[in-house]
Amino acid sequence: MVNLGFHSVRISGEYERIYNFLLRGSPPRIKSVFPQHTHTFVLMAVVGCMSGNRTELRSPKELLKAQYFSEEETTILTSIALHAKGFSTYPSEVLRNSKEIITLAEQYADYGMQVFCNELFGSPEAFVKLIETESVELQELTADMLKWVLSKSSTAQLKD
Amino acid sequence: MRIRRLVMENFRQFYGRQEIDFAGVRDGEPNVTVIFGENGRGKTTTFRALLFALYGRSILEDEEGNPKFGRKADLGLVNRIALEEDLASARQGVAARVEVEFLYEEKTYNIIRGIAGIIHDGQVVEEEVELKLIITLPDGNTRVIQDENEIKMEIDQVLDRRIAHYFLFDGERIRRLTEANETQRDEVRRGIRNILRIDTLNAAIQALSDVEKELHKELKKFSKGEALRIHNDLTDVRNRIEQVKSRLECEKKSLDELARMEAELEAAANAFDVVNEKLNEKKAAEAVREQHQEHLHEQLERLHNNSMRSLGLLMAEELLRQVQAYLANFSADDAYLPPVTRKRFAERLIKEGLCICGNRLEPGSDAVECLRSWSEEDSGSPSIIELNDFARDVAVLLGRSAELRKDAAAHLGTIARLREQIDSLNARLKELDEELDSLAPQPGAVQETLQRLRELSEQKMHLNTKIANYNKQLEDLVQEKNELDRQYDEELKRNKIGEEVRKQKELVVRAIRALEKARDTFQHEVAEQLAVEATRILKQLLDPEGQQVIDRIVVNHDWSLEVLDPHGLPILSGISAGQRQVVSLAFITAIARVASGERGANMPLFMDTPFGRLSGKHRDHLIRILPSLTPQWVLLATDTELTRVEAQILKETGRWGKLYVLQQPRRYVSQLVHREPALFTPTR
Repeated sequence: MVNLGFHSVRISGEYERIYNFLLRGSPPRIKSVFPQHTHTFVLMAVVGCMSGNRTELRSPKELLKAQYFSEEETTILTSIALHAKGFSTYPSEVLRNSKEIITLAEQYADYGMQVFCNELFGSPEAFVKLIETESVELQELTADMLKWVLSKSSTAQLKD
Repeated sequence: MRIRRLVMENFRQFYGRQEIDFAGVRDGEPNVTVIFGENGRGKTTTFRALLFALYGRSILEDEEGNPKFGRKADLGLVNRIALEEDLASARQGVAARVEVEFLYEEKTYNIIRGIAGIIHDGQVVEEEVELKLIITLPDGNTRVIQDENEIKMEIDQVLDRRIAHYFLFDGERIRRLTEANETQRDEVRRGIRNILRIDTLNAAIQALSDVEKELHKELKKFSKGEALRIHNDLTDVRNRIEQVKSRLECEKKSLDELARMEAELEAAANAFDVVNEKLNEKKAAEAVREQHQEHLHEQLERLHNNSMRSLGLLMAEELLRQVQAYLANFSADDAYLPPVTRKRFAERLIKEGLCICGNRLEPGSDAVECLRSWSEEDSGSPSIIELNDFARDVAVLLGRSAELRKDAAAHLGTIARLREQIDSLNARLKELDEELDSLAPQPGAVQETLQRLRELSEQKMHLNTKIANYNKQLEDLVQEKNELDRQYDEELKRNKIGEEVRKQKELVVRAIRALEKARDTFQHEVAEQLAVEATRILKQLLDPEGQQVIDRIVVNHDWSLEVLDPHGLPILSGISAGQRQVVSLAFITAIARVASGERGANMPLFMDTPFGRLSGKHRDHLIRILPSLTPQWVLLATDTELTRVEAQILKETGRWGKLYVLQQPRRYVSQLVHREPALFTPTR
């Protein structure tokens, strides 16, 4: 298994509220939509990758340490990096460079979060507004997200 | 225990002396006694009189708030008319009295309890003035006991007061069991606790928990730094647990209060047959909706626990497929140097100082620097073997994602179906509300009652959701507390602080867990026993059609009742309101039988209007079967419960021994008129 080391995994500052909401809800509780930040981050990174875009982080904030990614998540993040490299280099170059894997994942997750918010709520700002007014029903959102992922992934075409 | 006679004198509605001789005193005799009369004439009072004679006034006050029994303030036991007559004449007070004669282990018991009442300054004052237990032995000798404690011990040996209530089945208890929510779970839990009589065990657990709290406080004195931080977090979580528990208790009480108010209002609305019919349908639809909502909640919870961890994987399927194809192509590309080979190759060239083309390698040149960087590559960098491992991981993930997709789609399908069903029930409930509204012209009071019932139903639904949320919160907090406990314990051990107190606390916690385990084991064993007994009874009570659909009753770990079909699938939400009522009846009968222990169901079963939601077919079937479930069966019935059809079926069983018709010549004056069952024809 690729070792992702102890790198910081960061997100744009403006998305911190959303990540925290998806983990803890608003007002905070033990469980919200995702059991761990890693689950949210990997989903967003895949969404970004599938959409073929990545964006630089704005006012980066640390979300978690890379050692918290499970084997499964590490394999997915590595696959994202292989794709980002255009499948052109020797895979070991990618597998070896954990920092690059994380940086690419951060950028894809950043774009992925934008796609997610746009498609489900209109925009990231609109989602944050809903969170602030405590008008998101967590169980509904959980089911809606699963539905969204199932429908999006079943018709998915990777964009370069 | 067989009850031979109940004598009531100026007790509640019963003016003067009234007497019931019960059927089924000896084996083989007809064993059904019917007390027939309209609501409010004193059917339930006969059961209250029995309880009062056996256990005293306090047992009636235990039932405070039960609409069947009236509220505490209303618990005047001396007949009102007798009191008013006394006020108008001698003013010496009125003696009210209840006497019960029963047989137990070949001895005859006569217990007599008397109350004196008088109206003083417009208020009724009552006092218990007489108490006597006479035990007649088989040889004819008698023993008279007048000491209250001794009588209590004697009677409790025959039938413990904590389970006495389970021998009266009324609409209220049936309703509580038919509702698939917290009310039902409470009823089941309470029944099991009462059967086990484990008050002392619970008191011991509570006392130990108090000690544990003190020790926890004590440990704070020794805690510093990280230990103190965890201690504070732990205290915070413990406080939050207490808060949630107290809120939960509060909400449960409110729910119970709402259910009682609802039962009272329904009783009022029942006077209107059409309304009644619609209300019954509404109630059944609400019960099913509550079940669906609970099921939906569970499904969503399962979704959270299972699928949300893997949304990334589901989304990454196409990406993984491409990576898989790429890795397959790549392995075939022999021209490419894997890093390990490259490292060895570069090391050799640098050592030899010659390039592969034969030219000398100049130190410091780009070529040498490039070779050096290859040679310095981390020896732990991925080899071709690790690449193969990676390709295998990708393949495994692809397989898992296919399974996940299938599971998630099935889950979503169930959720969508449940939502559709809830929507359709909501639509039907809305229609029913409109139909109930349109039953105009109604007197204002009826409209108000219906409106209030609607509000209560909404409030109940809201409370049930709140209770489910609090339960969830509690579960999460307990998990958090366990984790903090573990961390705190480790911290204390590591720093060797507060050793003695920590060990004491550890011992206390172990003792609490052991006691809780013992209690839970008892409870679950009884739950299992109850489920088996209830299933056995259910098999007898169900008509052939029902027997095909329903296989058995189970008590879930959260104390809810479930009914399984022959394939072991839960179907409580899918069976009819009538079948649910039969399930409730079977379960309550099972509680009574299990509560009686080895001696069998030896207290007469009193059933107060038990057939509320049953269709004629079900009702007829039950009337044929119920008498065989108990040595003495006392049916308290109105003219809508026991019509000519039911009376005819009961006659055909050959088990109908006694009939008393309740008459009320004037207010507060009920009389029991003995009639021959064979000659009796109900008015409807």
